[in-house]
Amino acid sequence: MKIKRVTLLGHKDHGKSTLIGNLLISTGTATKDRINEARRISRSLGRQFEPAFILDSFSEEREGGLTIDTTRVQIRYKDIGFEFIDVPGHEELIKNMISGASYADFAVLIVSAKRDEGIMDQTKRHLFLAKIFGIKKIIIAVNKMDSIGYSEERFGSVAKSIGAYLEKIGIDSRDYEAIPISAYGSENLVKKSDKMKWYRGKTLLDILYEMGREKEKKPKNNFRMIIQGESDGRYFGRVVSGTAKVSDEIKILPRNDWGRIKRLYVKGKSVRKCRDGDNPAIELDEELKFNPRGMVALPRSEEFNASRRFMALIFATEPMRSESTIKFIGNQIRARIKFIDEISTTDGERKKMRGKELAPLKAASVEIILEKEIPAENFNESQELGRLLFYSGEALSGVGIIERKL
Amino acid sequence: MIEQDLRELEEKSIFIIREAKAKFGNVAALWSMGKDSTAMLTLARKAFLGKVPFPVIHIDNGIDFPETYAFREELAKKWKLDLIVAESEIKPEISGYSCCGANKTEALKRVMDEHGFDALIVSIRRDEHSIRAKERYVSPRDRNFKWNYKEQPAEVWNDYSSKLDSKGHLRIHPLLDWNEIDIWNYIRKNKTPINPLYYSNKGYRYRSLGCTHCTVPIKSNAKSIDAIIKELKDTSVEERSGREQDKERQYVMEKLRSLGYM
Repeated sequence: MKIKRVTLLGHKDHGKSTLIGNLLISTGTATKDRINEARRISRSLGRQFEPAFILDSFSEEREGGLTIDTTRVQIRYKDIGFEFIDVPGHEELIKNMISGASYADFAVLIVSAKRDEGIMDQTKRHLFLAKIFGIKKIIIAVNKMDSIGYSEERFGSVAKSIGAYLEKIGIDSRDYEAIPISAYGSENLVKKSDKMKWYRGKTLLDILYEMGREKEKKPKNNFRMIIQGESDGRYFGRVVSGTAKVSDEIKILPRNDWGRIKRLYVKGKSVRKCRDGDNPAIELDEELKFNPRGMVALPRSEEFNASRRFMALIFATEPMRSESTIKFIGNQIRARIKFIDEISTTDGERKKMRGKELAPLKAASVEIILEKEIPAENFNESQELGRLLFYSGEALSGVGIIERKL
Repeated sequence: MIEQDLRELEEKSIFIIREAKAKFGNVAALWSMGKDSTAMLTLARKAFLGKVPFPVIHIDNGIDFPETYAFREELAKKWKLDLIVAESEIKPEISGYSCCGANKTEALKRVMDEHGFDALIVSIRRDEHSIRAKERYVSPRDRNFKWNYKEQPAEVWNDYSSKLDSKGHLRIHPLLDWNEIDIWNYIRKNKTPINPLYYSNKGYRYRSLGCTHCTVPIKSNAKSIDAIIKELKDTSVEERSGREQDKERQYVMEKLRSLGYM
C-alpha cells in the first residue's frame, strides 16, 4: 500500500495532537491498550480524557500538555495509508517541527475558531514553511467549532483570511480547502457532524482520500543520481529522476569527468536499467580518480551548468548572517548571503532589507554566492536538487529553496 | 496494521545504511538474531552486493534461548559475518527494567569503547513503541549513552546532519519507517533465514524476542511465515506485549531509552 504523508501545522494548543488522537480512535486504529493507557494517565493528572496522550508519550509532554518532538502514526482509510506527522506548535521548537513536516505530501493546518485564539503568527508561519517544503495540498481545519456555537459566519471569516494569506504567498486556490471541525468532539473528522448542517463538504478523511487518489504530476526530468559514495570500485547513490542503462555515458558534476556505465546493480542484483527511486551501484568502464560523494551524475550529452550564484527564498530558524555555510546534498560549502527583501511570514508583504542579519522565524528573498559551484536546479524543476540547508557552526540556522540560477 | 510498499522502504533503508558507511569511520550493527536485525542484515547485503561490510554485535547475557545461539552460529557462518559477542553479566538481584538498563547497556558500552565504534546501526521501528516513534534516523548519544530527547538535532530532507560530540556515538535507525508486518513480508520475499522461535510450538510462539527471563510467548498456531502474516493482519494486540520491561511502569521505556537502551 502506498503511503501519503500528512503533516499537521498550526499554533500550539489549537488541537493538532488531539485531532490525530481522535482520528486514531474513531478509525479503530489505536489499540485498546493505548487508549486505556491515555485514559489512565489523563486521570492520574486529574484531567478529562486527553486523546493527545496517545501520541504525546514523553512524561514532559503529558504533564506539560504540549508536543515537544515530532512523531508519526499511520491510519488506513479505504485503500490508502496515511502517515500523520504530529509536530510541536511552539515557536522555540521550530527545528523539531521542520524535522517532521519537511517529509510531508499534504498538510492539515489547524486553526482555532475561538475568538481569543484564532489566526496567530505561528499559524501563518507554518503555512509559509509548507510552501518551502513543496507540500502539494493543504486542508485548513477550522477547529473548536463547538466552542463558538458552530457559527458558519465565524468559520467563513477565518477560512477567508487564511485564503487571502495563502494567495499572497503564492499558493494556488486549487491547492487548499477549508473544513469546520471539532477535534476534541471528533466532528467532521471521520463522520459528518449533525451540528453543522450548513457545511456541505466532505469529512476531513474523505478530503484527504480525494487528495491521495489524485495522480501525482511529476516533471519529466532527465537522469539525475545523487552520489553517496564508493565501495569496491562501484559508485552508489540515489536516482532522483529519470532512468539510466548499461552503456549510457554519464558525467559527474561539478567535476565534469565522465564515464560509460559498464554494470548496474539495484537491490544487490545486476540489472540493465535503473530508475527514479532506485539506489543503484554503478561500475564505470574506468574508475574515477576522485571520491564523488555529494556529486551528481547526469547524461553526458545534456547541457548543464553548475553554478555558484542563486536567487533563493529562505526561512531562518536561528539568526542568519551574510557569512554562512550551506549544505547541498550533504556537502558543506561556504556562502555569502546578500539580503534583498524581507518577506513577512505573517502578511506576505515584502520590504527592502537594510540589516545584515535575518532574525529567527523570519523569511527573505536573497542572493546566494557560493565559494564553489554546485549542480543545483530550480526548486520548481527539481525539489531534490533545489533545496538548501543553512548552518551556523553545526546547528541548522535555516532552510531555503532555489528560485532562480544566476 | 498497514502493509507498506516494500520497494520504497527497502530503497530508503539501503540509502541510510550506505550513508552510515560512507559518512562515519567505524560503524557496527547490533544483531539480536531477531527478525528486525536479521532483516536489516539482508538489506545491508543488498546495499553492498552480498557482504555485510561492518561488524555485528550480539550482547549476550548468557540467558538467550538455545535456538537463538544455534541460529547465530549458523547464519554468522553462512553470511561470513564479522561477529562480536559482548558478554554481559546477569546479576540475580537485578531484574526487569534495571536488568535491561544495567546489564545490556553496560556490556554495549564496553564493546563500543574497546573497538572505538562511532556509529551503531540499531534496528528499531517506529511502530513498536510510542517513544521509539519520536526517534530520528540518525540520533546522537553522549559518552554515557544518554539520549537527550529534548534536544534532538534537526533532520530535514534526508540530510542526516548529526555530529558526534567527542566520545559519544551515533545511533543509525534504517528500519524506523517499517511496520512489523512489512518485516515479515520482506523476510518472506527474500527468503531470509529466521529464528525458529517465531514459529508456533505446542500452541505458542514468540512474537518479539528478548532473553529467556523477560520474554513470554503468545498463543498462536502460526507455523509458517504465511501464517504469521495472516495472524498479524487480524491482531489488535501490541507486538511487545510479551516484553515485561515495557509494561512495568508507564514511563519505563522512556527511562530505559534515555539511559542508552535500544
